Amino acid sequence: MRRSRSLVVLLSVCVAGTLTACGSSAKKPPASGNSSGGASATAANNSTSASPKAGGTLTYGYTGGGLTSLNPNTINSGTEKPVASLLFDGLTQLGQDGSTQPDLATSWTASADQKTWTFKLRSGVKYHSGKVFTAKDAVANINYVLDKKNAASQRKRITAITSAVATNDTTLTINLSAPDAVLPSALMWVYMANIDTIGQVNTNGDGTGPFEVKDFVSDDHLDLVRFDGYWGTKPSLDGIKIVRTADATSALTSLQTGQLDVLWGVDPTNVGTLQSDKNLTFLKSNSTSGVTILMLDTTSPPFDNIKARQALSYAVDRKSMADAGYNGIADISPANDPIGSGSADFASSLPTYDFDLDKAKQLFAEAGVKAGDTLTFWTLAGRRGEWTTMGQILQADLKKIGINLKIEQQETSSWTAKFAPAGKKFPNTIVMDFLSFPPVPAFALQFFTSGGCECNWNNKDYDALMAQTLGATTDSARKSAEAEMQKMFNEQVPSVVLMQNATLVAAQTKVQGVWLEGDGTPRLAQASLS
Amino acid sequence: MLWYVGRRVGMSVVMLALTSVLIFVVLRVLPGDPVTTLVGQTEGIDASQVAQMRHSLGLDRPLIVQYGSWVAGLFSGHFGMSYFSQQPVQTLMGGRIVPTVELTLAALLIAIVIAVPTAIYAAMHPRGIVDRAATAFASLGMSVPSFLAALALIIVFAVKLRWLPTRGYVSIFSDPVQNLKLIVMPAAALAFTACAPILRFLRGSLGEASEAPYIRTAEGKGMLRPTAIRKHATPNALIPTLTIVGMTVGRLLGGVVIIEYIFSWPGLGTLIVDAVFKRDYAVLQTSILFAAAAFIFTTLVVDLLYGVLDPRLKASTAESAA
Repeated sequence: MRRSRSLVVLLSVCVAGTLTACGSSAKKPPASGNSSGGASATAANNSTSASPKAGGTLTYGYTGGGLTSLNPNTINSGTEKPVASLLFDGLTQLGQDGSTQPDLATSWTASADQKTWTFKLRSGVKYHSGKVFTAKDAVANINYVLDKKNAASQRKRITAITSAVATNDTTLTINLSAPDAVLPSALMWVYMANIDTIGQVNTNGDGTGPFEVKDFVSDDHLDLVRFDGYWGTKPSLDGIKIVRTADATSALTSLQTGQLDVLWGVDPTNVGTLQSDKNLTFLKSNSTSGVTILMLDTTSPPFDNIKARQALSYAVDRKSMADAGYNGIADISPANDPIGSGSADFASSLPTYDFDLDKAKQLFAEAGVKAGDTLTFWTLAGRRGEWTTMGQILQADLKKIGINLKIEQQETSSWTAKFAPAGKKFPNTIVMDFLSFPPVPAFALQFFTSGGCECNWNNKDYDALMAQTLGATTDSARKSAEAEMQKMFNEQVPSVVLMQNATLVAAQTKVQGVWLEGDGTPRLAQASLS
Repeated sequence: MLWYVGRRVGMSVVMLALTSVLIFVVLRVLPGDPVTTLVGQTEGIDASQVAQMRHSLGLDRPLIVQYGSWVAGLFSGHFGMSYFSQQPVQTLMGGRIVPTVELTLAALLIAIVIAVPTAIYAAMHPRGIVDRAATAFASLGMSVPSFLAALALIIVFAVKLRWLPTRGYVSIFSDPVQNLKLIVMPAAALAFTACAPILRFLRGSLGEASEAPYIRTAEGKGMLRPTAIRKHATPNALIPTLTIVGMTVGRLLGGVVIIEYIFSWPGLGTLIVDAVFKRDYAVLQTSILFAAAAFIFTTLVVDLLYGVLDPRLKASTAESAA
């Protein structure tokens, strides 16, 4: 039995920060702002006095792994994320203030039990190929993400969906097996590709977004041009050229010499160089949703013992690591919390793990880790040099209490194979990792539910609290459940959270209108060149 | 001669077959596989889904079956699909071969144009300033890696002088001027190390040849020494140098990987490096085999050319045949 638009649902969704278009206006600002924490972001260079001009081509460069595929629903690297929002739309989208805003859906309502959601879709929207977008496309894309044959990272957040039904061309009904107040937020990253040609979407990028593909060479470059049939605010730029510069030093040189307008993935050691260049600016997000963590196997010795995990959390000198690794551009997390202190949902009363080697030594001893024992620090080779720096700091500190730390650097595949997917055993090993979360705090906490985290922490109480969070009908109920989860995380340390930080992005001062998601993903659709 | 050619071609085929086995086995021994890289860290993916994906890609079949399937595909023109981009390997390689060949040939051309005249001039004026400078340059070129030369070029010509772009590729057919600007630094960096062995070897060969009896005879007949070296010693010294040039092509194919990476040159080198990091077996094994085949083919051509140019080899093969 459905009840449309009950007040309870309206309130619950709004306070959860997910419903910004409870009315029907397409671009209505969010009713609840950024109450759910989340990553809001601004481009530091937006404040430049030069006026933007229409036209021109922006050259966006990135370092590291290549842009291999344009399929927006199987994104598995940070390099692919900025492209998805240029070519594709979701039903909902991330607002600059971190809120959930309408995109191809103009409004949505939930039944009283929050198990049935109805989305009103925009009419007259066309794909780059000319095909008209309807609710059937939304159904097909949701089913594509739900299909276990496809490596869709967003699946975990929408697994409660039992069916998606196209009631008519502009009405979509989604049925859930359990209440989910943040479903509209979870749908932000389920992109609406042209499912008729899904086999070619990896190269043709046929979506409804503001730009379309002109030329794409996998792992090298992607040339986009403005899509004149776009339904929303037309981009100022004529096009965006997305290029790869694999070598970080070479990438920085390209930025300094003006061959790149924006560079994603700046090596933290180059921050000083950038800051001293008056033609360049360093983009920042207002709050961050990325975390640098030490991943531990909670099912293998010694980290199957809570005391060993707590000991490690005391043994890490977060401040020194942040200063040495990220030039201080990171918010340390002494409370060992995946939610940043800048979030409204952060549990501020949590006890902290201040750097204390004596306490670490005592807890390690109680967990059976004695002087002379050796642990392995598992990190990447060839990139993320800051991780090795942080590993060396930990190595020196552990040495002071008699524990040896062997630092092993591995290229990406070998590094991943050691601990992923979830369920793998990796005893005596500390894996350095960066997790990029969507801005809704619940999603950061959800990662650590059973079967989600490579740390193999399967805690039924924590899972139950997650269900409570998703089904919360009031702001206080949601925050209360989230606070309990953070307390549990703080006590049991399934992973050691070092700091909240984002991938570093720099740009020419002439670039305007770029803003960053909480993990440093640039939003380029409304960029312009002054 | 025919027997010699047949033997060399046969040896090349055997080498290629052994190379294919080696590439295939080594890749499988490395930790990780394409599926782990592709979805290993995807939230919510479990081991059973990974196993299912591995099965659908045929990666759980016995190695001998996988090898047979790959080799059969090579003969039928189906090199497989990239596990990541889902594009056919021949499509991915097709777009990368031209930039790599262009860069390699440009570097080789620069190396030869610098090395050959310098070596001849140095031999004509032994212990002169050019001879000494050439010796120093050859030592430097053989000891300094090409990526260091590349970084030095970038600092001078891109950062300081801002004359040349540091990254990218434009086809020579669409914009020859920009193509030239883009290729100068990577080709020069590669040529810096490729030039040294050619210069050193040719200078040495010319030194030996200039002491040969036929040079003394030519001088005795009144020919000036520089002319004797240019007309008589040089053709003889160039024949063994051919072997060095062939080997240099192999070195260039190896060195081009890092140079392409530094200058974001979209060639086979970057394709191979990316495929290594991702364990994109289909792309990797075919690309490496292609590079190996290119090297084997080059040495084959050089050997055959050597047989044609060197009358002594002709005589010995004739004797063998008799």
